[in-house]
Amino acid sequence: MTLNHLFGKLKSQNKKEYRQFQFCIILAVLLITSYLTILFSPLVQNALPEGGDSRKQVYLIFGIAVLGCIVFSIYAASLFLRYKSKEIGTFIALGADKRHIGNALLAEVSKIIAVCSAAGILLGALLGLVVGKCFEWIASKANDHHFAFTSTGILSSLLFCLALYLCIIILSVRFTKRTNIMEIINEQRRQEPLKGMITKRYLWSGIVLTLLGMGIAIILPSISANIFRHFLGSWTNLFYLLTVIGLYRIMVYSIAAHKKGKKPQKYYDHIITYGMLKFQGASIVRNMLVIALLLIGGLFAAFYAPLQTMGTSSLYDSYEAGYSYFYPEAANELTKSDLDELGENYQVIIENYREAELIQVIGDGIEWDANEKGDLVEDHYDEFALYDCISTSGYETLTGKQLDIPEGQYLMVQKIDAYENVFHHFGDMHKLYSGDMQASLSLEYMGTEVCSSLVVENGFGTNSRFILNDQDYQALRAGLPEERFIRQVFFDTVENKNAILFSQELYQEYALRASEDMKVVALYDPCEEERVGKEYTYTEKAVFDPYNPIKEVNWQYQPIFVQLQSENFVMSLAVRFLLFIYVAVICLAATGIISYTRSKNITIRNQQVFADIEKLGANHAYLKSLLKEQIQKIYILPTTIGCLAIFAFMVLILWQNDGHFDLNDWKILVIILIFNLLIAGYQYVLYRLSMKEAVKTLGI
Amino acid sequence: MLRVNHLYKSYQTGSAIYEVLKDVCFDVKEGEFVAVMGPSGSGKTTLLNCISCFIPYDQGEILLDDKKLSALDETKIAKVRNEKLGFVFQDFMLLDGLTVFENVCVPKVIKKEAYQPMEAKAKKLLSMFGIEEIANKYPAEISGGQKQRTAVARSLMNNPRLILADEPTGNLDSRSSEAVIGAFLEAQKSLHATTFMVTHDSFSASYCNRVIVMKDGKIHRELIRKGLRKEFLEELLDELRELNGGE
Repeated sequence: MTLNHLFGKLKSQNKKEYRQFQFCIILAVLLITSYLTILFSPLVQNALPEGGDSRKQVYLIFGIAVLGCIVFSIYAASLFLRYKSKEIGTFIALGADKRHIGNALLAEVSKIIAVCSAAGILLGALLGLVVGKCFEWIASKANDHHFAFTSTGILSSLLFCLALYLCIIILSVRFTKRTNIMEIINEQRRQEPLKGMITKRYLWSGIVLTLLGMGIAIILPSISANIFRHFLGSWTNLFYLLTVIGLYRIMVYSIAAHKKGKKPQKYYDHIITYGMLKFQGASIVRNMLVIALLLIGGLFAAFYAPLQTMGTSSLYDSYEAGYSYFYPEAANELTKSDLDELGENYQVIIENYREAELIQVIGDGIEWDANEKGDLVEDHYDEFALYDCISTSGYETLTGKQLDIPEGQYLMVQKIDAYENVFHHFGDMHKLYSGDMQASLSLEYMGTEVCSSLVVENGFGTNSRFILNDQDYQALRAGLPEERFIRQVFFDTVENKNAILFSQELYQEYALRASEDMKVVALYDPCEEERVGKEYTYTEKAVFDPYNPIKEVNWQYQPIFVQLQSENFVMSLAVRFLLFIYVAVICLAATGIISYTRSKNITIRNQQVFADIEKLGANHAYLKSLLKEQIQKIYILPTTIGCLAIFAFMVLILWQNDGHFDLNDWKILVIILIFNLLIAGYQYVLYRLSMKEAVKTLGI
Repeated sequence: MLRVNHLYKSYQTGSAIYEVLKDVCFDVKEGEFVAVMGPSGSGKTTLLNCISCFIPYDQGEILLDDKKLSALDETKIAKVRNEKLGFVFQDFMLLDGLTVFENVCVPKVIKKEAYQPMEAKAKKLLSMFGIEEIANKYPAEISGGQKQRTAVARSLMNNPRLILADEPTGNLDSRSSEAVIGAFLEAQKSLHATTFMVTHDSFSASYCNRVIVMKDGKIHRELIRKGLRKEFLEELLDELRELNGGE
């Protein structure tokens, strides 16, 4: 019989404690690996625009998921060390060499992490492959890229394992470095009370910090940019830490502050629960906070697809024409008779066919940007962009709307709900040049005109389109070279089941006929190219596939075929949607594991207290109510706080966008409420499962 | 054999410092069965933990066989704990995953002894304390008294110079307590073991040769058993009554 023999025996007799620790490590590595392999596969990397908001959001939420996985792994490790403390303390007390025992523990923990990490990476890669292939299959119509393992994905997974290993080893080393053997022996019974007196002020300061942090992080950059013309940068996100501190304080209060106050009956009714919770307060509150953060991250990720879909569907509803496209007059594009002929092939009747001329003229404008110091810089350029302009009568032909634009003034064409921000302003144009650049026309901005079907790209900056008074238009038109004339076409079709097939054929025809001049990316502007010179970045060829309109498109002349686009919208963003859904699933899975494990721990740690209370005459119903009150703390408050926080955050974001709430914003808020209810339902199911397990454990 | 000289120990909680042991001095001779009694918070367990080298102390010295324990490094202290000291804890501290037999063997396993003498010694001790029938049972399957007798047997595995027992009867009923005290007496008689026991239980203490009574971190009085155990028990009870203000 040797020490190793005894360690082996102890391990085989206490499989449950090992299994819980191993399960948590494997699950954490599995979830993170599966996500990383998908995230860094070409399939996803090509679907997330470089430097775009979606990419930033997905990384941020993933960061929270990583935090959650590390937290539940560390928690599992600390439970494991607690279980080991009695063994270790006893061996040391009986004369075993502390260093030898400590090294044996570190070796054992290292071995568990190494084996579980390997298993987690393998299973995670397998899951990543299955999920990634599912993504690929679902999005195959819209995507040419394939799921593939990348070295970045695998290395990132290994890095996560290393981080996990370091966290747990530091915890273990700290544990073995203890000199007080009684502390080691008593580790299993160690209480974690919350320090100090917790008063109502603590709660209020928590609420204030939560709102203040969120408010400052969202509003301060906007105030700074708009008033002080200084772009603060991403460091303002640090103010969210105030929110985290605030949430922590609220949770501490909920666990630690219980006074007789004006309702002594209530106080005495719950006195046992208060007492039980108070002495595990510190770790319970930490877990509650992580659960709330994971729920916030999970909800934010879950909102992504519905919010994107909603925003776009309201845009589709706003289009003035079912079909709109434009092309240089010189291009060999589809004529009315071509359209009719195509329509006939599909029994589709063309109606409301309208076309009008636009001219492209160089005008002045302002480029808004932040310099290296973060100061907002506005650079005015006399020759800023090649703008598309339409006459009042041309606009009337297209839309049927009569506009009264005085000479020397103009309207800017915009989408519904377009709003200005620090980088995008209405009315930055004050001058348009004649074709030979010898004369210019001074113009005054008189407002915006909503016509979504006429807007190109984002409708701002070099993509701006303007409506001019007929006389001004004619003055500018005179002497323009042929290539500066654009034909804009609007039409609708009588409702028909073949409309989609017709749209696809039309798209194909339109794209195939596109002249070389038309094959430019959405943000390309020849005037800007000349101004910027060699550093100009939008010179690459347009991205579009005539035979597949769902595929990724970056094309200035992309037509708007509303029915086709709305049919294909979800598919075109499928990879992004699935990615956000998957990160939400990871956040919710981590939430579930932390809540469930913590509930189990509360039950096991208070087993003796329940037995004692039963001896004092409590019946099973009373014990169940006590248990319920404790386990509810893990679920109700974090869920409520998580849901409220994300709701408040979204309200602030929606308000900050344009300073008011429109119908679409209200619809978004309703969707958020529905998601909150779904999360509450998920948490309720977990709570019921935890209760069932706890009741079984206590035998009540 | 054991000498404690001017021992001081304090704990810090927040900004408050609590002096738990103040200038404690005493000796324990070989083969003696000594108990330490006193009200809660008088410093009994802290004293035992200092002697066991489980916790550090602030000032003073503890000598075992004239060797200063504080002068030893961790490895040597571990050797002392394993070979010269035996421990019995109030909550037994048996390893749940090992059988009674294996638990008893642990000190010799740590010492890396060969299996045959280890087995013989363990069997002898199990038989001495009447627990040989439960040798293959796990701690969860035996009574509190049996657990504590197992712990006593374990403490004697390496023929220690001194057995340190912390409230060994604290969790036991009177019958089991008697059996455990019987085990200590048997160890004293058969193995000439020296026992230093912290207890609240006057009945258990009445079996000792000497009782050190502590109060507020200091030695309040030392009582030596001169006559019958019952008379000594009366003496102890009187002392405790006096200590508690005549209640």
